[in-house]
Amino acid sequence: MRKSTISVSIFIVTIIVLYATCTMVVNQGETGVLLNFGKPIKVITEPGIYFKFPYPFNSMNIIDARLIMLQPSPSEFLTADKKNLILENNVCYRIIDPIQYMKTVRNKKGLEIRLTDLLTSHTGLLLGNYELSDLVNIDPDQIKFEEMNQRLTQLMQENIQGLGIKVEKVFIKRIMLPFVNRHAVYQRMRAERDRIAKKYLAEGEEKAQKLRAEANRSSRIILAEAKRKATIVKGQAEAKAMKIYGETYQKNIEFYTFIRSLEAYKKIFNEKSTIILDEQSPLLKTLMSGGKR
Amino acid sequence: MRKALKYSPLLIVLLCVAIYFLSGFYTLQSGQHALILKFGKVTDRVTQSGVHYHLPTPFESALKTHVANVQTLPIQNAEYGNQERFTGDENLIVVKAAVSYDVKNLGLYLFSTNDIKKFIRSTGQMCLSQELAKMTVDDAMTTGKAILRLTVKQKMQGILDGMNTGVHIISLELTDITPPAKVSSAFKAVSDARVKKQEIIKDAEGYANTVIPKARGKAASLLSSAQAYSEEVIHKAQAKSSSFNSLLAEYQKNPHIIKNQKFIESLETIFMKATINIDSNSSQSVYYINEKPMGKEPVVKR
Repeated sequence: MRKSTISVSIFIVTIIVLYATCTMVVNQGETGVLLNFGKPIKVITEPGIYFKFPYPFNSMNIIDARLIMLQPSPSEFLTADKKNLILENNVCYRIIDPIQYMKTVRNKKGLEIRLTDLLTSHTGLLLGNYELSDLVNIDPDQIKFEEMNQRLTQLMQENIQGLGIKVEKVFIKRIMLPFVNRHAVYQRMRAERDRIAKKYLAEGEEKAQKLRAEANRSSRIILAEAKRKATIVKGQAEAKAMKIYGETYQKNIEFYTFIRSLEAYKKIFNEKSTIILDEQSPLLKTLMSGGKR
Repeated sequence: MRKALKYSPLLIVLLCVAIYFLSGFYTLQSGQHALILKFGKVTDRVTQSGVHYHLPTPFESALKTHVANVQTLPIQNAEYGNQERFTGDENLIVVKAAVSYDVKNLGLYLFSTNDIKKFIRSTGQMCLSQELAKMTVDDAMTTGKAILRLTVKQKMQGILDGMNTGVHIISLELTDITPPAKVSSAFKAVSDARVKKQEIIKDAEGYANTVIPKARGKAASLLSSAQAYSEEVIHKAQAKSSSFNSLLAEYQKNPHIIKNQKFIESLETIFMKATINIDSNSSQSVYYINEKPMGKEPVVKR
């Protein structure tokens, strides 16, 4: 019985030792490189468990297989139209040839310094062919952002060959201005705002004046129209009245003339009038004769 | 007893083995998902909240991640400089944004990139820069906001999909879009001017709204007074006509009397008012009748 205990124990220990020395595990997102006496012999891209001879025959290097983003600090460049810009870029790369990578790149930091230098110099070269208006423009067709990104990616890829990595994407993340140039932009923005503010006020005045003039015009038209109608109404009434008078007085024109003359005299002679009558005037006959005929 | 002691080493070994296998139990809280890896390789086993089992450590392991929760990530440059970006009209604008996302593919999310948050943030920044570069500063601050949100979101999703990140962008919120602090007063002046413009126009509208009704009122009164006048004129004519008609009827009965009566009535009225001079050819003297303001009664002087 003691024997069986020992044998079980030995079995377990053997398994553990075998696992530790003769297997290798490649995790998801990693690439394994199998080394034979330090010499890479096999690349394992599929994650899982693999057999190897124990050290020192075989050993294993694990390389990152994921997409890696490098974020160099921004630097200043000059555009074709001699404008200073600060660009902040990103580089996404992936290790595609782990053996080559192991041979040429000593450590990740060294690689990233190299990538940053390359990116800076190529961005500088490339931006020398573009103007600010190629990056920033209200007409979307003029913008060559995407073209620049692609050319940068391509340039980087061409210049990084032999390192076992692939530059998948380079993109301009942000365009900034150096402090001095920012000031000029602020100045221009202020001037532009000023202009817009004045424009708003002028537009307001213009519209207001139009509205007032329109209102005045409308009211005058309304009044003129009313006056016209009133005149017509009055005229029609007067015509009707004249007709009535005409029809009435026509019946005896002589009598009408008589009555109308009397009325006229009544109006003509007033307190200010002086009437000179002859003594022989038939009007006074009765008065002067003292009632006798 | 001795027998038990005799077996004890084996028991201990077995117990150790049992404990080893029991270590495969794990629990997940709600909203937590676990991806099961077999010797480091992603399997399609994804477990959700509850108690689960996987083979112990060298064989399998469980990667726990919060998936159900929407995560929010600010997109702004804490790393360098200020928050200003270029707009299409070469102005500067400060944009702060936050992106909400969740995981649509846990395997990709965990293993395709070295720092998924960095990828999301950088992609967001790039898209913001690119989209703002097409807009005017006024658009970006007013009507263009909604479009900006949508296009940046779509573009981000496209790029992140292109890089197989397993991320699903839910939305992009523009938490702050403002002019740079140094020019904010000028922008304020513009919005004040915009308000002022509306005020000026409102004033003029107010004027129009009073002047025109006033004119209408005046027009109505003009018309109605004209109508009143017409009525008067016609009524007067009718009245005169009927009085003439009745007088005429009398006249036709007694022409002489009516004529005389009317004549004398008129004289009465006239002599009541006027000054009368009587000129005598023989005596050269003048008689004054009804010399005002001596009296109302006719007085004869010699």
